Amino acid sequence: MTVSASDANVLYLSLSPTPEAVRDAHVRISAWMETRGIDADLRGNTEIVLGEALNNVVEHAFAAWSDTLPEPDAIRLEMRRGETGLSICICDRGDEMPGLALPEGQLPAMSDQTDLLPEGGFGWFLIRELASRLDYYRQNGWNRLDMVIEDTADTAARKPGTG
Amino acid sequence: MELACERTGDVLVITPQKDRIDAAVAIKFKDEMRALTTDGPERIVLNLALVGFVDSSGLGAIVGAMKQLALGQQLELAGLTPNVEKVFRLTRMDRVFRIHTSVDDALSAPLHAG
Repeated sequence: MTVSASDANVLYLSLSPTPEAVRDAHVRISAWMETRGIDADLRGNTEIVLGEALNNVVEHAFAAWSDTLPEPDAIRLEMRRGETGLSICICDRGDEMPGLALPEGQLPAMSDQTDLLPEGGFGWFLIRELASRLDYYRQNGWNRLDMVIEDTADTAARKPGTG
Repeated sequence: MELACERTGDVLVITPQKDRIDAAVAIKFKDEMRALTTDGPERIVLNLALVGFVDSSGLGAIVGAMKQLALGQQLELAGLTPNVEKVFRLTRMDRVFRIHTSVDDALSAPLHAG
């Protein structure tokens, strides 16, 4: 994984599509957010969304790539701190989304019977619950996912000069 | 992944020692839960006080840990940290599990919710 940080409000990471690299990336991202004093709630939401989004890339976009792994920079992430939250762009060289569209992300059906409870299918539901302005497209062999995690705290109250 | 295990009376308390239950450890977690709960007591409390992050794979593994219990056994949760609590709440899984604020609360609570 490589990191560059020319601008304090932007984080760039590139990583290979493996669970271990994703885990390392989470550690870096969490530390980056914490040192910038980003609100705990926004940090938490971002960790959940990135956890799901990066897992999906590793498990689906690169599912058929096991012979050629690990590609050192097959996933690139850019995270930008803005006025209202964090803008995130994840690009990867993996296979395209089925139908070139993001999954609907409906909550799996619940059941009163323990045996029938869902053990998966929560990922896109969580992303859609916590992220906004989701946008996906494919270009030159890369997938690109853009999204914003809004700061739900009362940002106006914490801005200097308004209190 | 490391799971600390303590038997208090009729309750087995299992405490994961890692900060994350995620895709990287989900299958191992579920397998280790099976090994610890097989032939265990009726009540099993999973203490998540040290876990700061659970992703959808980790959530699935916790649900799976409940589904693989023997008839009559039940899995309860305790000590959810804020972000873990949020994942359970958003996915409605907070309605499936009996959730205690802490292990102490779990141990002083009666076997069945009243």
